[in-house]
Amino acid sequence: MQLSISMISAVARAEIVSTRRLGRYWLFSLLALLSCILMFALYTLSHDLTSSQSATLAANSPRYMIGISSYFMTMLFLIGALFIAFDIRARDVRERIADALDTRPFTNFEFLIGKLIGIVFVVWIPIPLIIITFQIFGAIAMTIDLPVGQFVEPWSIFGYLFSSLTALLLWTALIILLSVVLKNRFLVAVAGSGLALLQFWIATSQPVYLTALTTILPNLELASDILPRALPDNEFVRLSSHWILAFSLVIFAARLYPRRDNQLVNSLHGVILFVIASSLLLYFSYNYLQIVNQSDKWTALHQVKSLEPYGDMQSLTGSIELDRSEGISIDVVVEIYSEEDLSSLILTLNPGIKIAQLGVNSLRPNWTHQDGLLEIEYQLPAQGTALVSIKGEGKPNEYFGYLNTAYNFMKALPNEVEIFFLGYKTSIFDREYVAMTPGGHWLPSTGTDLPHDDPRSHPNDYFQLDLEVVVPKNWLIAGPGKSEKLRDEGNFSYFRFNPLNAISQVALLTSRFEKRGFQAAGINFEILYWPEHEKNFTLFEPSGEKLKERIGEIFTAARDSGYPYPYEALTVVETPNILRGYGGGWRMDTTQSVPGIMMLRENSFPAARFNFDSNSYDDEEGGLAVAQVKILERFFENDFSGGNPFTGLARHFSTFQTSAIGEGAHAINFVLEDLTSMLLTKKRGYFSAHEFQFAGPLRGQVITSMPYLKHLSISQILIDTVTDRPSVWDRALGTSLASLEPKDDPAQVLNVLTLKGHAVTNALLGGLGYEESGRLISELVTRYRGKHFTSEDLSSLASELAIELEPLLGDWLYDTALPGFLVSSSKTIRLKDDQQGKPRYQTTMHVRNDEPAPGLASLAYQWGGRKGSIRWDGTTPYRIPGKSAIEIGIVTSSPIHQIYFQPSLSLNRENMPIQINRPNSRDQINLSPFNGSRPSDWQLPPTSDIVIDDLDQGFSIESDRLNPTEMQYNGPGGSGRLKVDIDQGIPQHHAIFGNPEVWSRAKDDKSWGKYRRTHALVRSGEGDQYATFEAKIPHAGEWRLSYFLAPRFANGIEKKQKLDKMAGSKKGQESWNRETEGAQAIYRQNLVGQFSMSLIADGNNQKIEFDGTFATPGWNDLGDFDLPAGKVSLRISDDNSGSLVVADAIRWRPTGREGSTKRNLTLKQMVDGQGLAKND
Amino acid sequence: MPSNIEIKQLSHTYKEGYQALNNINLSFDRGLYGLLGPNGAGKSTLMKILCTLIMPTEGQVRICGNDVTTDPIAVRRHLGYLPQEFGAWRNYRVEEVLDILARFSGINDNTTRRNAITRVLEEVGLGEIAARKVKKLSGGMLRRLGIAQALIHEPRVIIVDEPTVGLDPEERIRFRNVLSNLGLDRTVILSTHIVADLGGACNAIALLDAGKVVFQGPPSELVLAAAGRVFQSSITETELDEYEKKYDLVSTSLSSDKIIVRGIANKSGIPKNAEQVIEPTLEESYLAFMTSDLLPINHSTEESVCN
Repeated sequence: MQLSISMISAVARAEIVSTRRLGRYWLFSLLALLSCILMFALYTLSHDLTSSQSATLAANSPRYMIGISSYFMTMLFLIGALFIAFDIRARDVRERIADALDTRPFTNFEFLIGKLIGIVFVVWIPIPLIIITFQIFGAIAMTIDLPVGQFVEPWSIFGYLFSSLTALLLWTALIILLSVVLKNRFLVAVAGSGLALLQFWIATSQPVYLTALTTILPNLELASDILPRALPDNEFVRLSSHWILAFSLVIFAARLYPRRDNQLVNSLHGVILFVIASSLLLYFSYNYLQIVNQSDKWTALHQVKSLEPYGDMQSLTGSIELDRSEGISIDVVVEIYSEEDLSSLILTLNPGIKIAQLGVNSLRPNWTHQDGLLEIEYQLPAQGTALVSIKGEGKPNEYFGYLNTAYNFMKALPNEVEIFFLGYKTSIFDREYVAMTPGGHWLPSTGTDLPHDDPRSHPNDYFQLDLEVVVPKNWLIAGPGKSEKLRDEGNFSYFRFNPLNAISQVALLTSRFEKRGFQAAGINFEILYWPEHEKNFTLFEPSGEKLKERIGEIFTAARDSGYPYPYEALTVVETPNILRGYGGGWRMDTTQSVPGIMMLRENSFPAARFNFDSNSYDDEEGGLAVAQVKILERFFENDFSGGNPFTGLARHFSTFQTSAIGEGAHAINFVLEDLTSMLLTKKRGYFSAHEFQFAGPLRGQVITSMPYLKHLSISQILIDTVTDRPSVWDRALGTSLASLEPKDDPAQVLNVLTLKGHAVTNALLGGLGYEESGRLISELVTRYRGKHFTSEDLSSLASELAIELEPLLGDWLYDTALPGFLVSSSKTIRLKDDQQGKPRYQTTMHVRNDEPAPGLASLAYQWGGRKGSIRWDGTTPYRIPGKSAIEIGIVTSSPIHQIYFQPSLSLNRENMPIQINRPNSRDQINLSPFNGSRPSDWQLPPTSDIVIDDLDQGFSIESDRLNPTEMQYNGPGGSGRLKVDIDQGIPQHHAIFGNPEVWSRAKDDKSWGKYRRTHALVRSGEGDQYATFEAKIPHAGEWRLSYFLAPRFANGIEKKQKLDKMAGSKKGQESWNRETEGAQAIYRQNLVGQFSMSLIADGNNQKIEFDGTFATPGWNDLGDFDLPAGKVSLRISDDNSGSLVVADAIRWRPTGREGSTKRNLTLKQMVDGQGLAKND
Repeated sequence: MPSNIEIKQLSHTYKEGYQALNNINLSFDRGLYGLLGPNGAGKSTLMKILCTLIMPTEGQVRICGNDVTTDPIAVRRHLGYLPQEFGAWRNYRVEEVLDILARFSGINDNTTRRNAITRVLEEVGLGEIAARKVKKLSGGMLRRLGIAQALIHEPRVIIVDEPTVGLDPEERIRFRNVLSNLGLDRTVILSTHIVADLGGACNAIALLDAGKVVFQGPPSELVLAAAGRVFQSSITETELDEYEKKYDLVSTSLSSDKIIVRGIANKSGIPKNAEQVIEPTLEESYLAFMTSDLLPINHSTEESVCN
């Protein structure tokens, strides 16, 4: 007897029809459809709204969405399959057709396999239908140029369809087996749900690599146009094992099925299939774990040799030949010099390259090449040189490299999964694309692969390169500097790279690229891109000349400043998504900028959607071309995934030429790159692969800040966000740059460097100016090109150039002290009009540095109006020595509207608004105009007030609740866990989470504070959390107690009245309603109601009434109290009639009246007409 | 040529030790056969064995030459079964149910299947409601659909289990006719405890009691065997109680001031003033057979053929 396909088909068809008549099937399909469409719509809309703003946000493209969303979609369909398959037998019994069916001439296996196929098909079919819908929408969008929508990458679709089908097949087989074994559909539902939850738990909380090993969920790669893949390597094995396993489960189910059978298939068949499936799974798991763990194995060997001395590579010459089907062949000679005796020569070379021949100075020494470590038994005497010739070939291991990475993405947890979007293959060897990156060590380099990225012990190794590269004919190649095409021969093209200056890394990227390019200021600027990604390059064609001008300007300015672009060519080359864009070491720095090359990820510019109307720029200066250049600059400046070309370009001029060694080297190198970036383009960037572990909340914070994008770049918002963390400040305040140990919380070290390093940059630029700073860079690079320098070398060089760094920076590498600024309110008067009769307004204010460390500060002010437009201007930074004050004067032709004090790195941390006055425009005062700064003896007037701020020691919190260490963010930009820092004893408040459940600290430039302005706040609660301000009253008497509230929490009644008026207005438009709703939401969130507070002194407790809705901004008097000398506390409960409770600062001020002799907190509250609030 | 159904020394004991069938020997060829017996006689067990739903613990059953134990699938190809509580997918149309079950019976060709559906629907008189949903069928229609599904693959053996339970008289008659026609060219086994369902068209009857065949043969033999054991008497209302205590009464009817009763003789014979019924009905014969102490006319210790 044979298996009847027609019978299986008949059962499957019947099951399809039967399932389609189940209400729950349609309910599930509808939910699945809506969920997927919603997800797709979110991706599409988010991409279309944000992709043109940022190269990083462009990566969130629906084109590459399948790999990202496959877990969610598959889980959804597994649940659907569970509730369809869980009663396959029970359903027939219930319909009383089971006996009639049982007497049909099919075997149990045919019946169950037919059922399986039917259920899987009918549950799975919505997936291709949904995807077809997406594709049709994409086709329509592309055809009629809709502002939203595009194709999903087709190979990733095939991969997902097959993976999801497999997952459903195995899952349904399992449910069928459960339904046969357990019989009761409720039990099956419970068991199935448990298994689904288990998978969900693994997929959401266990290391990502375990998901492929322990669940049936898809295991897909990042989608790519350049390297389209349906499935990752080995995945077919896994999926095949799932298919076989599914059949074995059905066989077991058939054997256990309560119906007599011919036993066409028996348990043995099931066991055999089960064994085959298990073997395949084991094979897959072995290979998979090999990849996951191979880095540990490599690292172990490199670790052993990591402390041994190694030589300095002087040059690398030879050839490298690329055969797409075979691998690469290398024939190179490495010149190694050593200052000290070397007992052996240690190099790193990709373990995939098999060395065929090796020689040193014409000798044939013994050597070993294991785990990428090449050790040659050759003694090199001090100051000796060895010429190491290596011939080898092989297919390089694409994962080799970055062995000492601070974070092993292979073991990433699901909430850290976004780091995968930065790529995960160190190098790529594919028939269509080859990326020979420095990190992959396709070419030999000296020393082990660790420690890496620590210039104190392993600085950059600069060497001369002369390399011939053979690639398939018609392929183009990006390498260090200019690619000189030698010839075409047979099926190959020959190129040569021989840059004029020494380089520290060699990257070669080659494929069948398209090329665009031009000469800018004598530099050959090329873009190599994937042919199918032509669209955006064509779109920006109008900007070609302007772009050339802009790039030429940068090169010219650098050359004129004495630090010309060091190579003859700069190539921007497109890279596939899977190519790892960050390196190892503590910093895991970007690897997308290497000498002569800047990499462009395929999911950045090529994937972005630029929706602009070409005609709308006709009236603007420079028209479309200039507008496009601006769009491009903004787009690339806002790349925070390592592809920022401005910071990448800066490295070509700085650390690719020379770098610091020794103590503080990482800080010096950071400043060198940052300063060069500012000098070249006045732009800075931020990239931290570490932060991609928390990318969802971080992106949420960025998106929340998007309204400020007109003034700030995303990079700047990111920098502000990460450097605003209390933990970063704590470390910055407690550790000097030189003693900043990168191994200790490397993510934080990078942020501290960003905070303090850029402050140094600002100080240099502010103090020296761009020209002098450029001169310093120029001399540094010229003198130390291809070599290293120490901090002492830098100081000496500055002295030679008569550049005084100490007054500007102090002992910037070793000192931790920071300045702290106090600022007076400003005063504006009208001066006598100038000789042309134009009005002049003199604004002055005093700034005192109340700390011993010197500091820099500047002002930003807004003025203009009436005839001229309102504009922002700024002063140059003023240096303010410790314990001294200056007066700053500004002359404007109209009164100033706003002034912000902008301290450089200081205890103030934030910019502060300065109180201004409205000048009497009629009175013209005859004074000489004063622009700039001059010494002042201003300081805060002496006072007998006792002020307790939320940052003072007198402030404390009482709560039984645990402070959160992490919070789950789900909102715009994604989801994920956000670490919650402790800010001087209480959690930092993150506005994206709304009012906090425990007392937290928030910054607010209108809050009270000596230097730093913050307040504590908590969501209104049950009265079980307290904040206490404790003061020490120096003498008994009557004291007036005042409570500080920032403007956002004050004037509640007035705000309510305004809102009511808004809501009641007859505008009724949707936008107006939205605005009203938005304003009401903010009002509700910031509503401070009736406080519950009590005063405690001398054992007595006095309740105090304070209705926050009547409070005015600033100090609100709570009453006069007879107080004894000694400690007195104001205790504020979280019980409040409003939405939150705010504790900012309190003030005790003696009234000058004698208190009663009773000293029992006699309350003399000052009640005004409406309540208690009475502003001082 | 072997019979369509051959049962040899068939016994079946359930796991809990209850012996439902005890050494049954039967064979059935073309025709309509009745399987009669009281509840618990073993009818259902025998039917399930015939239908390959359970495996006998002893003996051999062959249907159309195929052993139900070793090759149930082959047996099922020749078998049509209408279970006692037949239902179908409620949201399906009649023709859809038949289409699916035809497919399950191995009719893969679309035209053949369509023709078969039309044929069986006509055969059972459901041709006009082919498009009606199952949930809208009456009880009788549903049974006829049951017959249709059993016939769809033109089996040589049809087994029908208690088909008329719950049907109104009109439907029962219609159903009986359908079965009679079916028996013309195939083997139809009708299991029932309603003797009237067998009617005159029944070729033979097998009477089961306590797991054994106590009678098998044509209905006329059963009637013959009951001759003299069925009486008719005209009694008063006061005598009725006593009659009911002493005899198994088959029927009572009123005639002017008397009650006419028909019943089965007891050990003492028929009542004094009663008269013997010369030609008892099949039902009366069955009852007479089952309730009297008479030995079976044709005990099934030897294989018998009902034809």
